[in-house]
Amino acid sequence: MKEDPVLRAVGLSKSYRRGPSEVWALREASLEVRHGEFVSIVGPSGSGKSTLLHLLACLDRPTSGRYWFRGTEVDELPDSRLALIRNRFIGIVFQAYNLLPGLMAWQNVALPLIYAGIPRSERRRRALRALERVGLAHRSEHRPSQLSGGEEQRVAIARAIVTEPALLLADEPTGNLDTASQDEFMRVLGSLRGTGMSIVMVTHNPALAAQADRRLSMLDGRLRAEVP
Amino acid sequence: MLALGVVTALLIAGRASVATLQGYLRSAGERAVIISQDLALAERNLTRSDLLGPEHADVLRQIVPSDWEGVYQASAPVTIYRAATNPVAVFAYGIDRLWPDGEGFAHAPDIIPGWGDGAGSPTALVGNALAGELFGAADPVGRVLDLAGGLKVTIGGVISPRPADVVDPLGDRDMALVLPDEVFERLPEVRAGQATRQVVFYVPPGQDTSAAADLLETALKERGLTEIGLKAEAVVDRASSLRTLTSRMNGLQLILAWMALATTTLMAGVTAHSQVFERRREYGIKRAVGAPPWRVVIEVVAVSVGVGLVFSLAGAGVGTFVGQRICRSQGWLVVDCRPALVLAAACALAASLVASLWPVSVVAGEQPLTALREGD
Repeated sequence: MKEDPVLRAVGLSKSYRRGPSEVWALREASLEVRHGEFVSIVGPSGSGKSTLLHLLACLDRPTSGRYWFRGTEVDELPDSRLALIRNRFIGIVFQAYNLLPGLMAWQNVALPLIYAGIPRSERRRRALRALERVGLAHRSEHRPSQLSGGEEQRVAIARAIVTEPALLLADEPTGNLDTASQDEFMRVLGSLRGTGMSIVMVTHNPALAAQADRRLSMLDGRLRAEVP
Repeated sequence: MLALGVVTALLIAGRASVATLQGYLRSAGERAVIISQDLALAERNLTRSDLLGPEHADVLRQIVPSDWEGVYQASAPVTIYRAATNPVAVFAYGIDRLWPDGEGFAHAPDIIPGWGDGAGSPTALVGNALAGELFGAADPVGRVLDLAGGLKVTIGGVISPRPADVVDPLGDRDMALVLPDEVFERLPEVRAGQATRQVVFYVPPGQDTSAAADLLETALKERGLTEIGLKAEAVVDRASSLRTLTSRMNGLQLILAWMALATTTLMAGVTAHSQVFERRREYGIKRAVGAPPWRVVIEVVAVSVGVGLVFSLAGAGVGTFVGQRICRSQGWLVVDCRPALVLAAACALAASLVASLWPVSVVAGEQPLTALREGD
């Protein structure tokens, strides 16, 4: 029997109103990602990569189309159910990291665990373990302002994987990083492969995209054929 | 929120001011209820035994609570005759027992043997000013006064000066001559029917004298004493201007309270609203990592209510402290302000909750992605 994919999107479209006109950021995107698969999406700025990623992350709702996550159609679910899915099954790495400046690294990492109802002592233990996986256990007591860009990015990764999600989504994860930090990021990403976690990464960087199992490209809001 | 605290402090300080004024009133004569006789109100023909006297006071003392102190007192203008100088006209009081110390009187009961025991000891008390007028700086105790009709009384003590902050519902005690009631009745002026008779009940501090007057009025009716024209009234005459003032202050305070509540709600609303927008990105991040909308809503409400409560209670505490210090420094009755604290907390809670409604609706309806984008 064929295993259900982690996610399946059919004909996803997203439009925004800009004054009197309607702008289509995404048109008829269809996609399947299997368990443990690493998919990269490349394309120029404004091609709709981030819009697609936000829809896959259940952070936004499509204008049309259907989306199944782990076999459940999610595009009509209420906000509270979507929050639960994000919390339990999806890890998101933002380009801007989106760490809370008032919290220490381990507290940032433990944030999703609060909403999963994990007790404080267990939260700390799991957060430190996640930081250890990204090589930042020694910086757990530092605040984001005390970390370099690469370190902040790794804290964001640790936060995304602390719940051991089925799907990791990364939006331009190396856009703000220098070469050394990009290499470190790829090393961390490489260590996550083989754990059964599916990864979808949006990037400008062809070298980074080349390391994925499957590469897709986007242009003018349309998901194009796989990059050879 | 600091402004919220200041407004609350002002509100509570205003409350404390009124409370201290009411405390002043209570300690300044409003504790008294006077039983008097209005012959025009009599419903039948009266005999001499129907005239208000100490026996009526005894009847009423058995009716009222045991901690109420009742004094029968009759008063009449009398003349004190002196050998070397002109006679002195004073007001004489005939009383069946000493006034309570708590009303500003200071007695020396040990030097007035038999006072009020019916033995008719010709002992008198004189007011402080009267003693000075009659005897200058000399000790008046033991001196003999000549009254009309050849009656002589010996001075047994001097009534202490009236405290500056006490209104005397009985008249000018500093110029009074005070006698046991049976001695008083022997005065020719009294026999001529010039006396005014009353029973004065002093209720414990803090009790409502109007309610006390109602209770006594009911007792008078039940015992048929209204038929002989007896009536009960709370003392309000000298304090009436202060009562009017407190009444106006209460009215003004009500307006101020509403203004403060409206201002508090507005400020709490602005605070909650700005909190939502300042922390929009934070809420967006929390929603993105899986916080359900209701968790974020609770955070907004908790912060709004928490800050509101802390500052309002701090303000109420300061207001209460200042008010009570004023009371103590002036020697006024200190009024329990705990209800004001509870009221302040309740108002702050209500204002914070009301003020949170709109920000909460914004937070609850916002998509995490929008919060992240707009919050940057």
